[in-house]
Amino acid sequence: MRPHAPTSAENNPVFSSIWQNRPGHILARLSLLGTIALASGCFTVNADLPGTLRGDVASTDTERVGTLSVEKNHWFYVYGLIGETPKDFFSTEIKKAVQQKGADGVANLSYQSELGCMDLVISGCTIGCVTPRSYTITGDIVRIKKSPVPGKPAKVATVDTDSDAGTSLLATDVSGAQRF
Amino acid sequence: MSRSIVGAGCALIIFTSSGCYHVTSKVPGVLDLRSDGADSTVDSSPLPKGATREGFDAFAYGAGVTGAADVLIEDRNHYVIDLVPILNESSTEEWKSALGDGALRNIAITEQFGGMSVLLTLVKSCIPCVGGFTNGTWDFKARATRIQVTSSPRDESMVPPAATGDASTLGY
Repeated sequence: MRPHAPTSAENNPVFSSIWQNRPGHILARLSLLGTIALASGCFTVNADLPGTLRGDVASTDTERVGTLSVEKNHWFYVYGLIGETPKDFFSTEIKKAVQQKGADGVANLSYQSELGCMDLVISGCTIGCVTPRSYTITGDIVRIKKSPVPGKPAKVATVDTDSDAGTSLLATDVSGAQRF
Repeated sequence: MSRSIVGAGCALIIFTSSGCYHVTSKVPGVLDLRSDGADSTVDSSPLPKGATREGFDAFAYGAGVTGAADVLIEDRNHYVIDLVPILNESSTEEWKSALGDGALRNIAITEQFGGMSVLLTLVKSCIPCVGGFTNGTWDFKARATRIQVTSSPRDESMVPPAATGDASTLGY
């Protein structure tokens, strides 16, 4: 039987090595890619919370002076595989808000994250290449009557009223008036 | 025809307004910014019974709280069509188990759509009937170091802020 004439694609050394001579390598490479994806995780958040979280402080030991609301967006790429959040993703805004109120901490802290409406639209339009995700931290800014545990205070060096891009920081007085 | 268009429109509105993979974690206790707890003694006492999940529960709902002094909180969320959270909606119980009456320092939120989430999503999508509706899984994770609560020596004599109302005495 006469062998068929090689096509231009089959003559290509790269094509030939990948698709013809070593088909097992393709599976191996895909498996490796899948393993990396599974091991590294998508949409990874790695953000510190400042100070200490105390379970010994009762609600009677605190005095509410305002509310905290930090809204942030973070952009992930390639289905969330690339783009881990920075360590100070939330801490800087929390410190700013508490320090501006002359308060000590945050009670009733709530963390929320979601793929919101615009995030889905952007993700859909880019076929997952760019996928933003929305994050919200809310709580009550409080003064604490109990003594702190031994350690250094978690504070920012300077307090300015400018917010970073993609960040919304809102701290309101108990009366509801916005401070910044 | 018009009914299907209206239905599709409603589905689109619900889909776009509520957001996918909505994770909510209500953190108990009070975040005290006056101290990072660096000079506090680490608490290595055993975690409360039932804080750590094992076997199928760990697979389905996350491992709960693991570790001794350095603890890892893992809470696995499940969703119907990626929108409505079902089963194990909040990680507040896990936070309470890790915190107790003590304190936590070096707290970090480490949420991710991890390898187990990918596997579970794939497994669920293969189950007839269930696969079409219950397809999403997302892991909320946090890590922290447990510390014993002892008052700071320098602040023992501090006048409570509420009594003075002066922000300058609050440790900043």
